[in-house]
Amino acid sequence: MMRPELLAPAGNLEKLETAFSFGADAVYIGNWIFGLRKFADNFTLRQMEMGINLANRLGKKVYVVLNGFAHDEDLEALRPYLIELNRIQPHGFIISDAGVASLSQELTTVPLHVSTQASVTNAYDCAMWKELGATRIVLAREVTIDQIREIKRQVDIELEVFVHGSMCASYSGKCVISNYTAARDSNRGGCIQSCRHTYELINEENGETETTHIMNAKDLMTLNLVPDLIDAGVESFKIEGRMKSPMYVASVVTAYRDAIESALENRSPDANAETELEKISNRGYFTGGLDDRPAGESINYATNGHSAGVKYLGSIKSVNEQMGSVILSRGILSVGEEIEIQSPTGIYAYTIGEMRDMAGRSLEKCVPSQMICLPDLRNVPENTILRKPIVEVVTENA
Amino acid sequence: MPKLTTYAASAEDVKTAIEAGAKHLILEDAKVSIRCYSDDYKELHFEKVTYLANLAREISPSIELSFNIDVMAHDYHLPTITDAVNTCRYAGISEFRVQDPGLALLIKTLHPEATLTLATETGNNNSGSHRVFSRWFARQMLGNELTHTEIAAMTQGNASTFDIQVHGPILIQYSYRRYMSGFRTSRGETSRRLAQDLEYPGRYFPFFENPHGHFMYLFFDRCLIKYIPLLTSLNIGRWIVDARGESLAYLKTALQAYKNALHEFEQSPTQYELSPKTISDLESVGKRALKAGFFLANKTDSERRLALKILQDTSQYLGTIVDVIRGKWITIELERSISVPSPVTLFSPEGPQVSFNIDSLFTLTDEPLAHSSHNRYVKTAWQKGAVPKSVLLAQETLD
Ligand code: SF4
Repeated sequence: MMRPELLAPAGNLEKLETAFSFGADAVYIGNWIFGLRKFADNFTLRQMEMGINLANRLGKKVYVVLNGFAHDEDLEALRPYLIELNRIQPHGFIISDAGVASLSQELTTVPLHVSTQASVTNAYDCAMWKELGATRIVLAREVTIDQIREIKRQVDIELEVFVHGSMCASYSGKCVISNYTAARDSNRGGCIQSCRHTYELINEENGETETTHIMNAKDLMTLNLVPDLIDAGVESFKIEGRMKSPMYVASVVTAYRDAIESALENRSPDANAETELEKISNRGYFTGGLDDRPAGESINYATNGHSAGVKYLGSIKSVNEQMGSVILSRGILSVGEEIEIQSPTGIYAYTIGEMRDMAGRSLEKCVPSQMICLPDLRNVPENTILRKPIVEVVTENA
Repeated sequence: MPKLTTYAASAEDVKTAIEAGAKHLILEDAKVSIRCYSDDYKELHFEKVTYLANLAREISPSIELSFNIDVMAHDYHLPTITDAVNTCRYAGISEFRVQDPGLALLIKTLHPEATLTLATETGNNNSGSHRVFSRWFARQMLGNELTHTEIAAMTQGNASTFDIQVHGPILIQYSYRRYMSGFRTSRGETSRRLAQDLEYPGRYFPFFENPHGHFMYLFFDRCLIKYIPLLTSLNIGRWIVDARGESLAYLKTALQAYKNALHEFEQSPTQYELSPKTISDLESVGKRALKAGFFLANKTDSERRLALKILQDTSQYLGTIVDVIRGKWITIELERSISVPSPVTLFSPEGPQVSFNIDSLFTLTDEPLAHSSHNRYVKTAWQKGAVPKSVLLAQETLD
């Protein structure tokens, strides 16, 4: 069996390092200009270069997302940026717009991957993009495994498939709700997730009304389909979620790394993997369009909230003799509190013994976004995750 | 002179459209025309298209005809699409509209003389993309997100190989999932509802669902009747009045309005004035407000993108503040190395910018530094205005 690539999201350098530490073969990253994600979850060129250098040292890959649909003004802004990107040589561009694709072919030697935003659903689309120079297609999330096999049979091109994460309710790239309702361009990074809103449905014939989250798609989870996807010839297994936490990256990468390795070695996967995925924030899971056309079971009509069984508390930024672990906290931590340490080798219980701030003062408690050190936490690698089990909660979105 | 164009899926549509002034009909069959409101699913083949084509030519021998195959094609659609193309070929229809660009390869195999129009609904909004697709497509549909200035610049004033929607409902989302039938399994193959987004009360979005999926339309209809001189100056080849899902009166009134306005403008461009009755007639047959949408201006995200561009373009980005201990330290995650002293400007997410000098630097373990060297995290003296996530820029351009 061919070994597929495990491709993780990286919203920033911390997540990129986390993804590589926990077993991802490649990451995809975006830039402030044109990456369909918000400012805080994107890379500067310099950070991209650092990420690409790290990947090259580790024998891994970094793909740069340029998957907005451009207007002419965007193409102009992209020119100098593409030239800079060519200098730092990421391992691929993920592009949906034919104009951007053609510009990238003209100005760079970076391989062209066609984004899922292009909604490629059949072998003819793949052949057309191949003619335009693409080496890989990220298939539309509506394509089933049987259809993937057929595409693979007909066209010699690498295929990438989403295996985990949030789902756009529409065919990707076929939604402009935010453009008209919030003056934010869905296809240039501005989606306001209107599909998660509550809608009142009115039957004009009889006046009946119903109120529901009519378009609120559940999250994709395909651990059980990994052997079939490998067998179908999928070259890259993609995880959604550049804006999600390092803990999400660590947990999802761990689960799919194990699923891939166990499928390749013909052994049973970790029985706990699905439970771990249930613990990270999710909207309820289903298998996307990979099994069959998604129907009512793919929508969470009742709530637009997330449920979670663990809370992310921060990541270890550095470890040294004098300070122990230095952590950028993402929650409240207290001395005496029992938490979990999630490292690439497993998940361990840990009780916080001593805590100090960056001025070396002893702390009983820290606040979110505070740098702290835990002097007695030493034998752990950088990018280890601190987390806390919580009673399963459902948080309604605002 | 633009050709008034509309969709037709029934004999009534064909008759009404031609009588009201349509010069080009886009024929539809619901099996492959996804936003078609006629119920063609039980008919195995495409005899209806032959019938409609014959009827149209009988009424108007000069009528132009094309056929709409705007389904996002999965494998199982291909035999049906093949059947449709073959039927059209025998019916003398050799122009096809597609949304899924790859279908050009299939259609050209089946019907080498076919001419193709690309109507992607979204994502074909720049001249580079138009250029690429012109390899396969003789015509393309201009996106509803394009402004008239963009269109003029992109086409250099000659958009004869383009189509534009001048009137009708605006599709804002297309999903493969059938949300409504999933919600109430008893609902039939097609259903329609009005949906009010409770975060934007008062806006009513038409929902339509059929075997192809779910379609969400905007709470107002596109209407460019007030901009006839501007539209005419763009030299767009076809003006599309989209009345799918609307009444025959809507179809007739809208086509007549554009036909008359165009005629009057051409008779006397300098004297032309749109009569208020035209607007009230259009309003009387529709259910939603009439607006120009993005045709006049499209400012989506312009401020946000401008701010990002400023940050992106700067070569002065030093790093981000990750921790602040008031009166003592700030901790910085550095992207570039710095030396002391360094004049910097801080952009706080909470307020205005602050300029100050970094006069001291320390490692996390409090060793003083003259240069940050390879340290990713450094500490410096507390600075008023600093909060976590503030961005630090050097005041001079860095190498
Ligand atoms: S609003 Fe929903 S369906 Fe539309 S682009 Fe955003 S996530 Fe996708």
